[in-house]
Amino acid sequence: MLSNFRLSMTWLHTWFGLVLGFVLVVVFFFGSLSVFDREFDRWAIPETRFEPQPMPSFDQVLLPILQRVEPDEVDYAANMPLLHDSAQGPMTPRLQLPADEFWAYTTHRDPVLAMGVGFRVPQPKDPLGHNHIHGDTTIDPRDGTMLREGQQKIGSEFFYPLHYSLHLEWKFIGFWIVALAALTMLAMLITGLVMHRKVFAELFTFRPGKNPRRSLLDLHNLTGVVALPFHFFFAFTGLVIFAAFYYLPVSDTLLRPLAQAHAVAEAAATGLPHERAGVAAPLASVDAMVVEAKRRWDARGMPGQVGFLQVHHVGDANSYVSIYRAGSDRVALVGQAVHFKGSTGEVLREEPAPTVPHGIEEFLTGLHLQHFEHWLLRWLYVFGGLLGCVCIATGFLFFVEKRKRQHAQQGVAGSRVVDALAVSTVTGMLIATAAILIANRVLPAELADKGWWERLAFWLAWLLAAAHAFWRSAPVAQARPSPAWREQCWAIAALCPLAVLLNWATTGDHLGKTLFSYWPVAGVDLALLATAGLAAWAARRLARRERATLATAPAAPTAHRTAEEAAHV
Amino acid sequence: MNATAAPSTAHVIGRIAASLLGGYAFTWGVTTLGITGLVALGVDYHEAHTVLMLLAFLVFLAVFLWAFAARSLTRVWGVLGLGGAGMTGAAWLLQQQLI
Repeated sequence: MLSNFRLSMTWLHTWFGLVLGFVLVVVFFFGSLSVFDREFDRWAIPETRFEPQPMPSFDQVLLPILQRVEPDEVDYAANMPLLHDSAQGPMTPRLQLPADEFWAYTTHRDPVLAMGVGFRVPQPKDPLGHNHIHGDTTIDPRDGTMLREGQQKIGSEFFYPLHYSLHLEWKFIGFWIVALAALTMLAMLITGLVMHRKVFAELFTFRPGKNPRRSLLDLHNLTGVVALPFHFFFAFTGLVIFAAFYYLPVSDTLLRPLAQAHAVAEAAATGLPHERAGVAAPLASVDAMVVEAKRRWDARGMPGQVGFLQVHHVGDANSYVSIYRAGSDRVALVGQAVHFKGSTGEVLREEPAPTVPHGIEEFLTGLHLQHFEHWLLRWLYVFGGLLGCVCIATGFLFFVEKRKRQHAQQGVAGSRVVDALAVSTVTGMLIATAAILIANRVLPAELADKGWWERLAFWLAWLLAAAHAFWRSAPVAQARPSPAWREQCWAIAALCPLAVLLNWATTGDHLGKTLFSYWPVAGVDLALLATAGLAAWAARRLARRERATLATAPAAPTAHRTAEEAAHV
Repeated sequence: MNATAAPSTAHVIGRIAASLLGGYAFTWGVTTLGITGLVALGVDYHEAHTVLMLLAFLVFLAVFLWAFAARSLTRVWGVLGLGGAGMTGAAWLLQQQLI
């Protein structure tokens, strides 16, 4: 685009990095929190603070609950009119939809069990499509009681989806924005290397004592280069995870005839029926199938627990049950499936080892999602993700530092707006995170739709932080630092310990107790306190910096400085 | 383009559109033609699909960067737009032969 390759790549790095960086830093931060999503869930729903449980008896515990699960009202309202063929008659009422699929999923970190039903749309527009209305529930597997409705698993139902969908559900627009951000991340890593060239030197270059702009650039390069494989891996595998569903749905569109033909041929080859037979049949004991699956895993030298269990074509003669081994001790999420005929319990198929492409895909996505047991790696993911946040945030700061004097002199608002946006995103998202945790502890557990109120607190707090950031941004227009950074750091330093105190006050679980008995909660509390400490330290440093700037720097830059700046743009 | 002048707004918008829309079209073409091509060579559909899903975003990344690095915007549109459409059409035709 520009006169030479490096200039073009620099342009791309600057402008795509700036615009999509605001999305990326959010994705990296909430992705980092999602590494401990189950632990945030325990913190947010105190009655689930107990040890992880194995999958309970399907016949006695799960089946009776699954038969009581209802199709979700929101899902029904949104998707039934799309899936149902009105030419064949009126829509089947929500509570009369027949169950077509049962599932239950657990990991080595789950005390509670997530399970659900896929309900069949009896008169679908497209008989070959995925005609399901879903209904999910979560139970305490020790006694089979359902978790109270309306309670939100803040980790796995809020932070985790936020990092890949931004909670913008309409037309999956959030998924697409995140995909663009991920593609941008990959491009930033490559263009960053092109811009700097002295990659090896960047690994060892950090000059905190130099002028702030130089230190920022050092830190930006250091965090980008040191963790480059990490950043590349997560951005890339994030795209791969959703590629087939959202980004490149070739099997549902252009290549649908080929995909359908393959599915039918595969069903014939594996003996796992692709369609319902239309003949009712009872379900044999699934517990007996679980015993057989475990026996087969033992025989393969890999004893294990059930991670994922699925009953297809419920109530039909073609029903079959798929039992997957939990991947606690390997990278792939689940695997080694054994499939049983639903009506008799005979083994239909034992899945062979994955082929090379599937093995690679399972390994890459499994390494991103990390449901396996490895606490050291889990923490490394958090630090890697936070390094990514530092890299992106220092990118914003460098953008501002590089231009603010020039903008001040020209009376251009660019730096001021970017700085305010950076405050809104970086410290704003920490304030919002603290706010949702505080709301979770302040709002009563009985509150109907408590999760909705928590989310409201989260977005309002974030909005407030953004308003504050813009309101306080005036000094940037005079090439001075915005006090909003410091003030929001103090807000974080106050809000995080408040969440810890509220957890203690409302549940009695203080650190003195949880440190020795329940790490999921102790870990969240400790992370909150560490964040508060870091924020307070940053606030003090920023105050010192502000005083120094006020004391020494004139409001308007000298001609000499401006010329130097211009030479760098 | 002039070696020193900044590109016009229209040109910048054209580049961005080419990198994203053209890049997506090209990636779509590579993916669909890649899958049908592999299936035609006797590879299992599911297998071919997995391979192309792993490659797709590396292709997208490469053409995305190239869309900004290339000198001529017309050539970018030509390669990405026509290439994407051509490969998609070829994939469709090949699929007709396979079914």
